[in-house]
Amino acid sequence: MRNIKRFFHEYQGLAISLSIALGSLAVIIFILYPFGTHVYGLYDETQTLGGDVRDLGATASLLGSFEEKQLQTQLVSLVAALPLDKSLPSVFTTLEAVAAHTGLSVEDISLGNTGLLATEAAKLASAEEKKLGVGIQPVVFSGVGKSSHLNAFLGEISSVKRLMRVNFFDASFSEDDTVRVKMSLSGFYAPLSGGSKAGASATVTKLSAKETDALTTIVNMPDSATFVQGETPIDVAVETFTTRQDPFSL
Amino acid sequence: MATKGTINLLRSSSSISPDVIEWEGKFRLVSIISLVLVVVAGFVLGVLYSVLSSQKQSLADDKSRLIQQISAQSRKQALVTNIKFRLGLLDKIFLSKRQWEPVLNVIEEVAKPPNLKSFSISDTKLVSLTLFSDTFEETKMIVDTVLKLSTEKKMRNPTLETLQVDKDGKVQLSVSFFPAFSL
Repeated sequence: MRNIKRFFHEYQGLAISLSIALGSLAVIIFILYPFGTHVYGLYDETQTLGGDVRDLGATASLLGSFEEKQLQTQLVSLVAALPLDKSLPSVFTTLEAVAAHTGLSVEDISLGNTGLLATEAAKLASAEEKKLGVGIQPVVFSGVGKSSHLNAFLGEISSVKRLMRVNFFDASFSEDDTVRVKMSLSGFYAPLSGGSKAGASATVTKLSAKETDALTTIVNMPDSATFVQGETPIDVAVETFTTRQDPFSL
Repeated sequence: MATKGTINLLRSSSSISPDVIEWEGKFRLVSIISLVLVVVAGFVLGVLYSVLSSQKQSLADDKSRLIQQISAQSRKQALVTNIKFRLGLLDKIFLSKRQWEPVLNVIEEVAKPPNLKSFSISDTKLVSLTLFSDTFEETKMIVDTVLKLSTEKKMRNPTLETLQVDKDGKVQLSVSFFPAFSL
């Protein structure tokens, strides 16, 4: 016992220093390191929150700069160009109006893949529908007219607001310069996006210059009513349509 | 020699070796450094924690305020999102559209009615023409035009599909080609 006391007495300084060093090490390992990790996590969270706040701030200020009425008008125009559903009446109206305006007589309009037997959900999307992200309504159009009428029809049908695309066609000429044409067209449609359900956390970005330009062009595109009312003379109309068929082109 | 009756309580020499004394000094230094390190690190981490906590609280408040502000404009947000969505789709549709004017011009360069009887443009972009001519000279001119357009790279793979001559010497020929430009 006496020896032990003597040992501790002799090595007291060393023991205290060693205890402090080991205690510090323990504090570092068991307290400071976990606390440091927690502080780093807090820093990470702050950075994420900072990013969110920046995005939300930009979204809030951007939304504040929009006029709701103007947005509504623009969306209505875009829905007229690309309806929410097949909108078969608009397909007929557009084809008849463009044909009448360009002088082509309609012989027949028939629809394919109308989906009467299958619901939209059950219908399998074609490869092109998947590629474009829209629904496609095939239409076959037959008409008779002069060559110039056909040229005007092809120009107008791709520039009218209700978007349609001529896929391929056959034309045969008679002795009296009349042309009988049969063409395959596609009418496009797409439902609204889930944007309205995205919540406040969804970021909204400003329309790019290209998008704004395209939007303006689409809003100003003539619709079938324009032809029915006969407000646009054919020569002027054809010139207007053929100048710029793709509003997204620079 | 020690005097009898006196006691020397002091040890004439330490029993601790000089090595141990040297280690003791080193450990003392290490212990001081580690203590300072612990105190400084603890202080810095404490300050950081306090600053970051208040910053996080402030940002969380800002976020909830902005979310409320945006929620109040959710209608506008939905409209903008849908406008952008539809513009994206419309862009793809416009890119998929075919330009018919250039190919119609090429067909017109080959022949016009009444020589041109019919034409078709298939889904694979193959253009097929059915042509009539009253004489071989006219036929030769048509074929020359096709070859010229091919040389000018306005069409690819021009092919004379059929050539028929009736008893009156009238010629019917079918020509097919692919436009050399993208439709």
